[in-house]
Amino acid sequence: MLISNSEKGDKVFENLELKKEIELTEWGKKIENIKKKKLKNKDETFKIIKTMAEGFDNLQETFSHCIGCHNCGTVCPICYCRQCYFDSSVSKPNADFIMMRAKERGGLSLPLDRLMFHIGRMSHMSLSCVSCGLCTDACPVNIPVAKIFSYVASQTQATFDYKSGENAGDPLPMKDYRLDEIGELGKLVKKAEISESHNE
Amino acid sequence: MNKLLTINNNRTDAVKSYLKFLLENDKISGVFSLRTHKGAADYSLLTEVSQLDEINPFYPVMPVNGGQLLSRFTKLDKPIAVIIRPCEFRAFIELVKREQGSLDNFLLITYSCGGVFPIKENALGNVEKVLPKYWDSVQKGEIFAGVRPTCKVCEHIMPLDSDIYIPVIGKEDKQCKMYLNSEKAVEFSEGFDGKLTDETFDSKSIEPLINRRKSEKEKFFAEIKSNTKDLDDMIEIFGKCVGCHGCSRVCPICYCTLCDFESFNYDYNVAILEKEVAQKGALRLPPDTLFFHLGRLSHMSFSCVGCGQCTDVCPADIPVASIFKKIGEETAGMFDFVPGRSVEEQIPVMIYKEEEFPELGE
Repeated sequence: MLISNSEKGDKVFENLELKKEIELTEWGKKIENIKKKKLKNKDETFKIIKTMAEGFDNLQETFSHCIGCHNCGTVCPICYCRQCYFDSSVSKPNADFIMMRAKERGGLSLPLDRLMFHIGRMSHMSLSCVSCGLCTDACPVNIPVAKIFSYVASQTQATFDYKSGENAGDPLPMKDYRLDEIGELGKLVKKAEISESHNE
Repeated sequence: MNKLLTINNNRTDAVKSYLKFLLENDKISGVFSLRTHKGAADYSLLTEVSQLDEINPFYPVMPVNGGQLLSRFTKLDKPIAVIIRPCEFRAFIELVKREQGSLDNFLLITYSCGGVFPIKENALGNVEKVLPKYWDSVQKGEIFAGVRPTCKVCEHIMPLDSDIYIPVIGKEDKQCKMYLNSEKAVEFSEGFDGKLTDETFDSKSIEPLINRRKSEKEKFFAEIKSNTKDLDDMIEIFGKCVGCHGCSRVCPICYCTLCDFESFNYDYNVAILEKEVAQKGALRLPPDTLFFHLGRLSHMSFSCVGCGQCTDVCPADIPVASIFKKIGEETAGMFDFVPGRSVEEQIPVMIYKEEEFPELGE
C-alpha cells in the first residue's frame, strides 16, 4: 500500500497512474491497535526507567558502567556538532587541574565527567530526540541509553508542548523566545531563596 | 640481579599497604588504580589514604586502556604510583615514544596478567560469578575461556621496563613478591616494612602459560589469515561497520586530536559523491568504511598492543582487535619491533635507513 502525503507524492502517483484515493479505514484501525499496544508498553517501560533516571544517585548508578567512549553521541542523528564540548580541549585539562579535583574529594574517577557528558547531551538534544535507539545499540556496556533519553525527552518535549520531527515548520523551543514561559520555575527559585535566607 | 620485596599478605592487601606507605610518607602525590564499586569498575586517581581501601588493581576488567589515561597527564611535580596491566603499560610506552606522555610522572607497577573479560560481561554482572574459577585457572597457568580473544594469545606478560613487577600467574595468592626493576623503585621502597633480597626474576611459573598462548596464537592467526586473504574478504568483514569510529576512540595508540577521517578532508561535497555514484552505479553511506580501517592499520598497527578495547566497543561485533593484532604483529615483525618492549626502541616509521626493503623497489 502506498499513501501520498504531499503534492510531490501526488505528482508521482499521477505519473505512475496510481489511484490516489484509497480506503484507509481498515488500515487505520490496525495502526491504532498497534499504537495502543506500543503506548502501553511505553508506559510500563517509563515506570522502570523513571527509577533509573530520576535523582542523582540513581542516575549515577545507571551510568556507572559507562567507559566514556561517546559512541552514543557519535551515532546520534541529533548530535551534529563538529566538535563536541566533551571531546574538546576544555574537557582535557592539565595534570594540575586533575590533581586539584582529585584532592577536593580524595579521589577522582577517570576518564573525567562521564555522567556529566550524558547530562550535557540530554540538555542539548533531548528536545529533538526521536527515540531511534541507535545509542543503545552502540553502547558497549549495555546501558539502556535510548530508553533513558526517550523518557527524559518525553518530559522536556511535553514542557514546551513540542514533538520532535513532527512538523518542519515548528520552531525548536530553544530557538523560540517567549516573554512569559515556565513561570512556575521562577516561583520555585524564589521559594528556594526565601527558605535559604530563613535558614541563615 | 633485581631487588625483590616480599610482603606476607595476599596481593591486593599487600599492594594496598605498599601504596598507603608511599602516600602517607609523601613519596607520591596520588595513586592511579582500578577500583570497583557495586560491580562497576573504573580507573581512579586517589589522593586520600582512606580511599585506597576501594582499589581493586587485579580485577580482570579493563574499562579503558590505562595507558591512554596516563597520557592525559601533563607534567607533575610529584609522581603518581600507577598499577596497570602489561598491555596498558606497553601502550603508554608507545605513547611516550610519540611524546604523548612522560615516564617521570609515574612510578609504574605491572604484573603478569591472566587476561581481562569483555567489558559487556562485567556490565551484565557475569564476571563476579566466575572470579573464583578465573583465579584458579590463573594460578594453574591456564588460558581462561571467558577472557578477551586477544588476551588468550598474549605473550607479553613478562617483566618489562616497569619500575615494579608483580608475578601473578602460576602463584598462590598468599604472598606478594614485588621485583624492583629501577633505582626509582628501590628509592621509593626505602623504609617500607618488608623483606628485601637480591634475586633474579624466575620465569618458570609463567612459561607454561606463555607457551600455551603461543600455540593458541598460531591457530588464531591461521584462522584470521584464511578470513582476510584479499580485498573481498576485508570488505565482507568490515562491511558490517557502521562508521562510528568507536574503535579508534578507545584505542590507546590513536591519539590524534583530529582524525583525518573525521576531518574536512572526508566531508565530501555533493559533486564528489555524484561522481562516485556515476562511476560505481551505487554508493554506500557513510563512505570509506573499509578505507578508515586500512588507514588506521597503516597508522597504528606497528604500535598495536592487542589490548582488545576496539573489539569490546564495536557495535557491529567485528573482531577488530583480532585482525589488528595479527596485522600489527606482521608489520612490526618486519622491523623486528615489539610495541612497548622498551622506551629506547624507536618506532620503525620514525627511523630512516638508506637501504630498506630493496625488494619492494624492484
